Amino acid sequence: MARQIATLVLLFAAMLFALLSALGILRSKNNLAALHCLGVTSVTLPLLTMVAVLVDVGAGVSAVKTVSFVVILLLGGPISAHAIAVAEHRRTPHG
Amino acid sequence: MAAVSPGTFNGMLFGAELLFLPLAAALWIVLRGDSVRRLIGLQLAGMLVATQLVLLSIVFATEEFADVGVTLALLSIGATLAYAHFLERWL
Repeated sequence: MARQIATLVLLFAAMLFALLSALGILRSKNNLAALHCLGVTSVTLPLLTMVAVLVDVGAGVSAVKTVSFVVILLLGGPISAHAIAVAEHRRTPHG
Repeated sequence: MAAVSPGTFNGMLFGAELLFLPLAAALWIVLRGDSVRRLIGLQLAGMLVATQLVLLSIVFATEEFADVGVTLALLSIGATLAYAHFLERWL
């Protein structure tokens, strides 16, 4: 039961960061500021998810798949954000 | 690893369901923003759905869900790069 509660707390924290990030994207005045808000989720969501999975199931096939998933998100997030930022910068000269 | 049984509290299942809340906000961004803002919302939604799939694969002891989640995360990166390039060049 303690593991379940710890997992829930970690995933609740991940949800909170994602929600704050989404609200930040909604409230941002320009798209580069919105990208800055997206960065919060692209780091915290995979890491907190990985810790939650490791707490809940421990080492195993699921943990390996989750870690590979986390690595993909952690590497892909900045690459995607950079591509979007370049597109935004070239679309609006002062963006 | 065991599949969820009815009547028992499962933190991971509840946590996966909690992620629907930011997902709704991400879909709202996709519906309302300009084209770049929509792409940002899509990126957020892709991350959330892929995370939910990975969590649900553990809850229901179904490895295929995790494979779909990992594939979605990979495709999401490629799709964002392609669409950002498209935005930059033609829109």
